[in-house]
Amino acid sequence: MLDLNTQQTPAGATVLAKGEIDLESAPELLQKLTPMMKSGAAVRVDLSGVSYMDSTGVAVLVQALKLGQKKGAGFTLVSPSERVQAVLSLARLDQVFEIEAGG
Amino acid sequence: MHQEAYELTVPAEPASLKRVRDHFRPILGHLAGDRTEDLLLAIDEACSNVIKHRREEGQGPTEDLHLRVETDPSLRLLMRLPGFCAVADKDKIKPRDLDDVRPGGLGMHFIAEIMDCVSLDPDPDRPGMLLLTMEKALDPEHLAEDPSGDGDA
Repeated sequence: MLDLNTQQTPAGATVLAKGEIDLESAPELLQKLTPMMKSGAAVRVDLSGVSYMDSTGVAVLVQALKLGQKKGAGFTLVSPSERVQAVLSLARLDQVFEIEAGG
Repeated sequence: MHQEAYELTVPAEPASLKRVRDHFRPILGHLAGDRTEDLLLAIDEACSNVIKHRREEGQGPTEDLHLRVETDPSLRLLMRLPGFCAVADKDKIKPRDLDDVRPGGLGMHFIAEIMDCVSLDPDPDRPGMLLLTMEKALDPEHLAEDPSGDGDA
């Protein structure tokens, strides 16, 4: 239901998420992001392929953001799909995250 | 508009959430048009809440989730989830302050934002439990022909 692939670049890592993020799949994303954020590296999460996300997905992103802030590491959301943007907006978090438009 | 009712019973586990969304997406698409994904989110959050609380309480195999989605003659969409929570936990069920940016606790906020009215009433079939009812006014312009040709599913 949720595919996660990581691309390493000199600037940091990008996690490509594809599928649906809910109570079942959000733990996979948390498991992927937690060690990356704890390492202090900059992390980008590409959400262009996420067709559905609920509050548990939002919670994972907030948790990663908080871990990054503790380590002084950047955490960026890339190209969130329309649905993800709607959910972030509903949570009034669209201004809290650094969001990079797709290119 | 005639009344329509759709029901689904699934195991109270995370793996059921996608099944719930996939089941109700075409039904809500027919009833609510471009509000469908928001309404699915409200259903998902309600079900997730039940699953999480039962898990936190360390319950073993639990009673299934039973969802009922219906319309009434006044063009309201009613989504009901029996056994939503224990009467004793009613005060814990409320949206949290969004100014505090932290993980978790957003589910009830989403439901309150999406729905017109949310109520918790004694569940007539489960003593000590509450029935969640979520209501949303339907826009008649969004209503299409019943895709199944048969209201009851």
